[in-house]
Amino acid sequence: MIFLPELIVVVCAVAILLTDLWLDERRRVILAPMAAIGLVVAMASLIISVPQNGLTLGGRFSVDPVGWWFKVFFLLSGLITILISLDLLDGRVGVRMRGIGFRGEYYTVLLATILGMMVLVSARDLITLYVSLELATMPLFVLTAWRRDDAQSGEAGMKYVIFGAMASACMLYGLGLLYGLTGSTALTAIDRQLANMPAFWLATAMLVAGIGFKLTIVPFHFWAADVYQGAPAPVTAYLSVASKGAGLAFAFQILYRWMDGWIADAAVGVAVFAALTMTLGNTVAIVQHNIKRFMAFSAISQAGYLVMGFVGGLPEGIPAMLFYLLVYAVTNLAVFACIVWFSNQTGKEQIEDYRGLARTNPLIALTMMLGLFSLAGIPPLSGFVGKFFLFSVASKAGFHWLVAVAAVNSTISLYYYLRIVRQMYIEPADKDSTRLPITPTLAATLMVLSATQLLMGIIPSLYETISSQTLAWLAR
Amino acid sequence: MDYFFVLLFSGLAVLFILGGIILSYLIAPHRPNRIKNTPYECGEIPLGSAWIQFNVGYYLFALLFLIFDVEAAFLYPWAVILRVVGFPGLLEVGIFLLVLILGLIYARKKGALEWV
Repeated sequence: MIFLPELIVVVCAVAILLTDLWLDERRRVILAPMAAIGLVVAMASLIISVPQNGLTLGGRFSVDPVGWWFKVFFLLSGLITILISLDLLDGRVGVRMRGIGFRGEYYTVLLATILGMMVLVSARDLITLYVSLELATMPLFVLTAWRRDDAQSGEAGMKYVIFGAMASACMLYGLGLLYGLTGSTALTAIDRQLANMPAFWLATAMLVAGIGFKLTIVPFHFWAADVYQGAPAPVTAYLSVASKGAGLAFAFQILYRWMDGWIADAAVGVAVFAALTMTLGNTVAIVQHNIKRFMAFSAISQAGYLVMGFVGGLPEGIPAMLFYLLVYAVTNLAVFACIVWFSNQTGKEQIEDYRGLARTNPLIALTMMLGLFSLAGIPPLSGFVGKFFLFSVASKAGFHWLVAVAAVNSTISLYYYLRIVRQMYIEPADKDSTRLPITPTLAATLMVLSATQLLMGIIPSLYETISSQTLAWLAR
Repeated sequence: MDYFFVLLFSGLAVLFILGGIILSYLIAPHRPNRIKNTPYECGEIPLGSAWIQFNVGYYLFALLFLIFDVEAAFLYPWAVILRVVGFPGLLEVGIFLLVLILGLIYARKKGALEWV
């Protein structure tokens, strides 16, 4: 049963939906623990079956170490998202938000996207691949528009649907062309049959557009800022981490599992995309005032660093990307936990509203500062280590100019991350500002995330494990 | 050169659409009047404007109908090859129906089937 984790997630989602129907509003607080326990059990079943290789369902579904690490990432980010969203949904907030609720549906839909992403990394068939990608994307449209009385949330959902449908259409056309060229939907058969011809390049371009949409690579990033700003804060956290992971998983499926013969030729293209993405994300983030919009551009620039791992198609790129993805999940979610907490307690989302936070809530300000520094890549925090591996992949592939661009971008990013730190530590607090309360769940989540984020940078065993497992699989 | 016909085809496709529109614009007589501009409703004289508000419940019914309509369409091919796919096929259809019934239970419990 190599699809046991997926099965657990499905069963859990169905159980939540049915329980929700027969509970009165007051007892629905148990739904969040149900979802969290479901994900923990799925994670346990994944970990018990340590990286394994296997094929099932007529070769359409397979597991290998790379997919295994992606699944760990998806389950982890889903779990943290549940932990940071339950306060908002249960109404344990300082400023009550209108039009948020429907807890049963929220967790069901969230588990559905996690399921889609998990199947996505295991799919070995065009149709499974496309259906699972849709399963991962469509619930996100719904989650984005979750605050149904809020005009901004509705607008974000609408924009996301339209752009998403466009990207899906592009992707489907690309997959259709591949099927037409090779006459098969199995990935292995396609890999053997592909030949260098214009229709193949058209298909690749279509697929790149679709992946670029999910990963917010620069010419396809327009939706990100508005969607991230309009969505409820926990959903933004999930979008910025898991949705990006899904994009990377899809890129991985295509670039390493089919086109590994061509990936070296595409290196210059990938490098240009990476350079554009990080430069635009970083320069535009400087002028933002809304913290969620700011994090959107920060996430765009992080995607630019992330795709550096594809440059040259070196085997070292895979563990570097997986490691950075895990680091990015923990760090970004730590920062977002602070943002969620702040918007829960005050209902404010401007960067200027954070002034004097270090006076009133020194510990939370400290965790947020650590998270931001890790995103900027300051040693000894884990973000530095992750970036170091990615940069070294690019330099090994001979793209020294890309490493230089990335290094300059890291410096720029430090400037704008410091803007928030400055608001928190240097600007004086308002006279009437008092210490804001924090709920135990959020405090515990924040503490664990911060500690993990520190430890990942200091203890090298995580990277070594990922590296040895994935490289062993590649050498096979 | 393999792609010459693709190019020719796309060119012809654009020309065909544009040509039709332009040609009909050029040769058709333009004499609009009030009766000609009224919307065509199977020969009936239209009553009032088409821009009226109607119950949002129609959408819910349409959505639910669509799901079960598609379900029926999926069941036909299965029924045709029932003897070939045998018990595994029956099991798969059972799972498929279970998922849809789950949706029906949800819609029923949430009151989507009650007309308000």
